[in-house]
Amino acid sequence: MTDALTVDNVSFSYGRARVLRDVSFRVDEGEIVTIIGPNGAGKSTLLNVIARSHKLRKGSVSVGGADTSGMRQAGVVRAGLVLVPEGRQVFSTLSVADNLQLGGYTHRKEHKRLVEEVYGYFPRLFERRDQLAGTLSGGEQQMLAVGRAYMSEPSVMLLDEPSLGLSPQMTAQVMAVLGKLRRERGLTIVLVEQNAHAALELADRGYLLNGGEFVLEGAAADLRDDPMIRHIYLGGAASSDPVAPSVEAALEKELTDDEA
Amino acid sequence: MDVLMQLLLTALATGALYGAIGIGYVIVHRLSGMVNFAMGDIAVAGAFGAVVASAMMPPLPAILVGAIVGGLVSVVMYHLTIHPLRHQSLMVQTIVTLGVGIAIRSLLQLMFGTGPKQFAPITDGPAFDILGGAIPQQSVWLIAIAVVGYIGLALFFDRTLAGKALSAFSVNSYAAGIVGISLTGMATIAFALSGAIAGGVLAAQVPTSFITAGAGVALGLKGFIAAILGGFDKLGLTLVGGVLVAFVEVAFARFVDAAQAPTVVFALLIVLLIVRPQGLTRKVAADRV
Amino acid sequence: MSDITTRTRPVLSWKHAAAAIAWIVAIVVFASATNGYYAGLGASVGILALLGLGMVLVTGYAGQFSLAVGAFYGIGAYGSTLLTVKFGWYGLLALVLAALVAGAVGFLLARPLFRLRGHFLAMATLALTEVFYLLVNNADFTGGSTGLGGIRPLELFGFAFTTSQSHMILNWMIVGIVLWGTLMLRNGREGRALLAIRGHEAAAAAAGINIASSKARVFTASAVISAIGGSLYAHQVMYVNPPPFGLATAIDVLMIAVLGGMRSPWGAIVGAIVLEALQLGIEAVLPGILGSAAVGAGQQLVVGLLLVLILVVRPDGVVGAIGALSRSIVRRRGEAEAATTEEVEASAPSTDMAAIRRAEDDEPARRFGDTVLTAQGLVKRFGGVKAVNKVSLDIREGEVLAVIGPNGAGKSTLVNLLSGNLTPTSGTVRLGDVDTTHLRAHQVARHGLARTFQTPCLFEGMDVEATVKVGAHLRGSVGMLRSSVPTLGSVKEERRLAEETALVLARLGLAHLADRDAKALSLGQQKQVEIARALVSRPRVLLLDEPCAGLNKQEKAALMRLLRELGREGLAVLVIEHDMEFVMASADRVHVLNFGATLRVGSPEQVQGDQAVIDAYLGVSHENEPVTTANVAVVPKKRRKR
Repeated sequence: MTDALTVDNVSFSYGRARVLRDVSFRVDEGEIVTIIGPNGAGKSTLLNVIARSHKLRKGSVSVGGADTSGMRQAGVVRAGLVLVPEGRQVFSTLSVADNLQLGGYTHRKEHKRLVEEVYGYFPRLFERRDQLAGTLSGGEQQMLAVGRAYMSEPSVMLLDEPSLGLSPQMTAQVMAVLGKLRRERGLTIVLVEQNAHAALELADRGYLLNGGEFVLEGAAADLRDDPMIRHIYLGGAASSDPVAPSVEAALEKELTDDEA
Repeated sequence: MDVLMQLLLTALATGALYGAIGIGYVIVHRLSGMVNFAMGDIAVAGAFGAVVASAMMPPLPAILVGAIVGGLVSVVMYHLTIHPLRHQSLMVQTIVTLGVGIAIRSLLQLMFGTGPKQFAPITDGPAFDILGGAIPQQSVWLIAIAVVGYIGLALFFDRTLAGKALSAFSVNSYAAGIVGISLTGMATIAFALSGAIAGGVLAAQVPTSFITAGAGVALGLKGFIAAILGGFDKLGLTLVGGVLVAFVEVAFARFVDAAQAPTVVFALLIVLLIVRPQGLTRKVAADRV
Repeated sequence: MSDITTRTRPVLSWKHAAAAIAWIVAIVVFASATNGYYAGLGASVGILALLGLGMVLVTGYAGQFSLAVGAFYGIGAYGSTLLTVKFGWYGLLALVLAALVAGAVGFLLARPLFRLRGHFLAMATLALTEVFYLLVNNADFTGGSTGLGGIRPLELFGFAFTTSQSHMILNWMIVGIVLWGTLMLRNGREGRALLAIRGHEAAAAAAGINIASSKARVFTASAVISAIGGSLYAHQVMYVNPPPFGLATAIDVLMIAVLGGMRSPWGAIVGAIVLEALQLGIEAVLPGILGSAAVGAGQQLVVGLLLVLILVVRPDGVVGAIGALSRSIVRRRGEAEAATTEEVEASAPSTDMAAIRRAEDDEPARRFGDTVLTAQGLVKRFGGVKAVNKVSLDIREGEVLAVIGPNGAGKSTLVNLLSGNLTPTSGTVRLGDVDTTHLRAHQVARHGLARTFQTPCLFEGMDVEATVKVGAHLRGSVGMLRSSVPTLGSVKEERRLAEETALVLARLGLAHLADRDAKALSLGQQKQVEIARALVSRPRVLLLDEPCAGLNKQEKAALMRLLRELGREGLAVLVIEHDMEFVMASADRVHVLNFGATLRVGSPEQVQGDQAVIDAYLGVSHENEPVTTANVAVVPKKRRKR
């Protein structure tokens, strides 16, 4: 069975800074995978490179078996991969309905059916369909961003920190909708989050990105309790927590291995 | 009162022209933050297209040809000179438009000479008398064409998907890319519309005065003032701004000194830029330098 | 001819004297050897070169797009004409007065004009030139469109400049002087300031440069130079009419600058010669093809097309192309050097930052000094969003304070409020006992605050030494004139600034990179250059905005050690960072922000163990079980690819 998404040896530099170093991973159809990590780890850049907002110079990306490495962004969207960007990035001076219509820019023929499905998942958007997107609350804008992405009939949806600036309740709602979309539509989801706990509750599998490379991967349930995560985020925790010597030794090794 | 009415009527027609050129600036600026210094010359190129066409067809279709020529020249300009520089600073892109403007102007001069050109108006007949002022029939046509063009553009931006995509691109080009809207497609549309409205309306003015190859500089400056008054954003206010500029110009010419009227208008441009760069709008004009 | 500023050489060396003599000799020889026609051409090219130099100053050095040259050129020409013809003034006096008038107009208009940016400024200055043209064209006392004639030749101590050869020599002498001044300026304090403004205005302001004032001064200088060109033109041609002072000339001068590459004064000379040659070529060729009436338009067409072509193909012009060629030869040598640098660093001492800090804490406890920076109740609203919500903090001399928080917590906004890059919606900032709340960035810098930026803000075309020296701007006082015409005082000051710069470069291990292009360095080195630039101004408070992003282990450890040293020397340091290991090792106190508000302030250990902080970063967990050995599974780790 072909993967819904294959990312192979992707590297990326901003000028002189190496942000991504040979990142590879695969996602099966209908899986929810989360990529967590501290700030500056490269998570946003990774999603932007996969979605072709940035140029892909090193490595390759395939969506549903089709190689999207050389495509332009519009082509990637047509191939079935869409990004819900960090900070929502809705078209603030246009209405909710217009935002959704633009989301379906590459799938104009299916517009009517798709927009009905979006309103079905997000009744609040239907209520506010003539309102300017910039006047919506943060949570509503997040819903709009997801709905807008849905309008391109994607098979893979990438989300960049959807919980940013949202209350815990709102975050839970967003996560719930994502779960629904996976269950009912078979949508494959890659979720980048700083909020590790919420993401690991929703996801099947997870990766920990630090310094531009994956330092940890596994089933979400296992990662949830891994002290390495807390250490990477806040530093120093390993020395004060009672952990197994083998894990501690492994943590030490990670620190000394982490070089240029 | 008669005099005032006459001035108003003249200003309406000339102002519609300035406003149309201003709209040309605004459409391109909304897209990328760039000021197209060749705007006036593109309009002149369109007008000359109409002049050439007028030898083969009646005035109204010739004016349409003028609009098409203006749009074409604008699109070619984008693809040859601006698109290759899209990763350079806005400054470089702006200087290039200066060069293109000169090139168009001098090319027209080489092709058509420096003398004035004209063609017949759409309808022949006496000028309309309105409240003591006279307005030539062709000027009414001009205003009508400008208004129709404005309404068409407004409908385009508000109702069509392509128009909304253009607006979306101006608001957030990153997000526009994410939904699959491409810069090249949007830019082509923007430049085409910009050249078409400026060229078409200028072509409509030719029968009531005339056109020369070098008219682009002054027209470009006056259209720029109209664009400033519209905050480089609102099409309707740009039209209004154009009428305001025209009114100041004709009033000064009538009551003070006809020769120095353009000078005053240009000086007003400088003052306006310094004192009130957002023009008639309330917000501050975004300058993406 | 490279446009990278080089290390400060002894300012008045024999090389300069030799160059000056060579210049004079060349001009005299050329002028004497040619006939009247070519000498006249040469004189005209000289005036063009002068105008080009003026444009290089404003648009090349300071990066401001101005087309006002036509107006100032005209003020000079018409000014000299009116004064000598209508009022019988002595030629030289008239020239000086006209130049002063142009300077005054330039100075008055500068501040309002330079509030405009980019194309708005270009349009405004374009309108200015058009206004001047129309004014003289329509006024009677300037002769209207016919113009004024009967201008007598310029006289200097009884010698009358009547022949074309004498014009050529005079014009090119003046060109030589202005060229000298422009080249000297680039290496002087004010020249660095201008290049810094062009390179990155925020960084220039952070170094204490008063941007508005610098722009005004260079605009005035350019106006004066253009006016002198106008006066020379009037006395040479002995007749003035409107056309040479309109838009066409402004575009020609722009063309010269673009041809020459904008940034190099030599480019103005090259550009003027090339343009004149082009115009002549067209004059010779075109009449045969399209008739003599086509010459004007034909020349214009070529100028327009050339402008487009150069910008599309080679935006840095002829001189830039030559410079790039010579740099590519130098680069190969440079690459070998880069390799050796990294090898040396690889054998550096321990990178275990926590251990380094523990060792330091064994020393006798340090006491911190007075409070140098206080922020009270800072609020910053952007539209409906509160980016910073009632944040108060203070730092004492010798203290390292880290500001941390999850993404979007308002850390960068806070730093911008402290440094004057943003004005708070409410709240106050004090540096020492000075209220700096509403001061702008360059004024805050004057009170002893220096900062770095999240991404290194380096200046195009400046080497490491010059970049760092910009930071010493406030430690000098030499202005534009003394930068161009080196006096004893300015030479001494340059030397002192060079020494201070060298000290800081040595401290940060950058001494061997002093003459490399700053933008060619690695990210870690660029960040060090930024820090060096901030340190050289001897600030009381240092703000670092995410200094660790993109650095490797060694670089971070070295930075951590540097911060601890700076603290011991009494500097107050505020660091925004994400790298927790770095923060815990380098900070004395930690200030945690979340959603724009203060969440917790305390020692690194206190903050690390605080549950609220952990929740903010990792999100709230629903199973609040302590982590024990029982439920930790060893997770297969990903092997790093080589």
